[in-house]
Amino acid sequence: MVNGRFADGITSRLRQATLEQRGTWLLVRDADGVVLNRTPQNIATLSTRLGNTPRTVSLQAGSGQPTFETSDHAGIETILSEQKRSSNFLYQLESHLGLIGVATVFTLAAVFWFVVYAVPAGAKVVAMALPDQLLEQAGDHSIGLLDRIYLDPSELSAAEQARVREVLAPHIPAGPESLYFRSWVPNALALPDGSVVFTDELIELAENDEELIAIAYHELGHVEHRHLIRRSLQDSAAVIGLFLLTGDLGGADFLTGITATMADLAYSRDFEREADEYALDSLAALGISKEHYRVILQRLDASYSNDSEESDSSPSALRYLSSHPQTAERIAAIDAYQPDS
Amino acid sequence: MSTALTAEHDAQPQSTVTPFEFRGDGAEFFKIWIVNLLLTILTLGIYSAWAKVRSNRYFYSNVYLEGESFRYLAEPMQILLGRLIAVAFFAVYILAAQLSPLVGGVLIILLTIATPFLVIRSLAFNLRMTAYRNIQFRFDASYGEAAMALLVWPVLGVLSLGLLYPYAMLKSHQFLVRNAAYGTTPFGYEATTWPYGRIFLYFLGILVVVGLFYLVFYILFPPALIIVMAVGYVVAFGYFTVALTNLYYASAGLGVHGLSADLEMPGYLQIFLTNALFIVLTLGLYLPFAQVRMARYRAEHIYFLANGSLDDFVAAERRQVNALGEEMGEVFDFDIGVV
Repeated sequence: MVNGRFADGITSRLRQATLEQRGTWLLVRDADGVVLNRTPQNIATLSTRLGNTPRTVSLQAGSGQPTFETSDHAGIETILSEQKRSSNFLYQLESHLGLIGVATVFTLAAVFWFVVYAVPAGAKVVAMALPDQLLEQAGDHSIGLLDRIYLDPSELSAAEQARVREVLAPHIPAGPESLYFRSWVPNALALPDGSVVFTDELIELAENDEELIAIAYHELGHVEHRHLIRRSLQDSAAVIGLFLLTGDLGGADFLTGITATMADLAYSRDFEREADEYALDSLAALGISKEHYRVILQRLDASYSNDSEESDSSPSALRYLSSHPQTAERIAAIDAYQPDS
Repeated sequence: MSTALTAEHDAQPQSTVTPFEFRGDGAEFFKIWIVNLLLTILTLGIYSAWAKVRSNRYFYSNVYLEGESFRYLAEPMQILLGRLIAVAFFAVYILAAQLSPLVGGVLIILLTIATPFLVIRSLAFNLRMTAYRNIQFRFDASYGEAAMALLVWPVLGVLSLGLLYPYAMLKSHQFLVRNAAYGTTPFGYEATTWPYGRIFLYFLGILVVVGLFYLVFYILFPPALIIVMAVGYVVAFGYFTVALTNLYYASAGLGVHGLSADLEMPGYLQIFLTNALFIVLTLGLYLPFAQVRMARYRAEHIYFLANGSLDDFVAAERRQVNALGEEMGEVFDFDIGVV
């Protein structure tokens, strides 16, 4: 006999009651022994165990859906025992400390694998399969967007623009809109459609044309490996994946944002490494010394470090550092680089 | 735990104030959560429907009012079906948009038109799957009402540069609560626009103060700007959540009974910030503990103002509800949020 409360499912009234088994029937009686409900045992169902939450036996009646609720887990499981094995499988998993430990380690490893390996690999496959036409459309959007948010019109003279165009022409894809001149911080940008943006500030920073060519090949490496589209694919996949796993964090969604930003930084570091390799390979093939690349990178880095000492330009330095982390590491990679041939 | 206090409720001297109670335990929920994650990963996401039911059941069943717990009744297969429909729709949309932007645009318009309907179904599903004392909650509303509350008023709020936004928020709360019922007893919602407007004004005031701090730090110590931003964000949205939750429950009622809430900024922010800190430090493993802590805090600060016995609510007639619409509603997963 199990103690609990009976609710007839018609009104919200609850009655203290007991549940007992008589042959193939379940009987619910109130405190005075009056039978409140009579249900064949094989029709009654018992809710599965979930932590220490109360158990509900669903009973049968002409109208409504009466229930008997109890917190006596052991007692109710002896009466409705035939369902015990299957229904409590999950509870047994959840009570098994060894399994909980394994599950914890496995889940952390799986999330790590998903974010660090699966997402980049998947994004690469998708990005490489995308048609060129789609990428060109994306390019139109991004130069427009960049112009509105960051970039100002170039102040270089037409002659200087023409000269740089001529220097870079053999190296970048042909076309009227494959090279843009703009004004911003010293930087160069690759757009998804394969065009490259040089800033006046970068051109002024470069001391010879080989340095500009080296930078162009770094940007073309981003284009060749479709980094921009891969980055946006990876970021959205990481966010969606994390969101699916954690569900609604109840106002703490910015935590998903922090994690995704950290993943994004790691991704962009991989991309810089890939683009550097592409640039070094191309320079080696042209017979241009890798020292030119090393020198312009160091000068770029120095220009940002100097900048950030003046407080008012720190936001631009932050922007740069967030997308170009670990210059020292990249310089070391350039020093260690040996061309294949 | 359910200490009944005499309420200072004007017209009803005999009403008693009882806080809700949350009896869940962080360590207990952690085990359920980690098994949910493990099985979801191993089944490539299929198990997520079962996981949702188990975790919802845990949170509903641990909310107690006058010693009785709530219950979550949904079956995993219903949730799974809804998710499959959502995924299928999304796949069709991606494919169609790829083939022709026009078809993609038409689908978006169709989805917008269907949104009020789907939200109604979603609310109806989630409330019908919630029971207390073996009586189910209900939700029913007309398409027009839903379209006004969900589409028209918010758009007018934006078009009026936020001036109408407090009113739009009042309208959406009225829509959510007035169309809900416990058994045959409908919920009521009595509020005026001014308290909403005041919350928005204070919120704007906090943003202005944060902006001033931002300027000061920009001039004096730029490296700390990111901290100023983070603190400003947490304080502003913390205030918004606390004030709006309190207003929401104070305005809602069930028949002769009332509700109220007294969430407080220091307590709420303390739980929110320590939760966030521990989640980051434990690589996310603290998440279930954090959810339990927040659920307990909220439950303890929401009160039921009972006017007499809770024995007299009557169940509604069982009606056959369009199953497909309800499962489509799962796409949105709207909830009124009892506690």
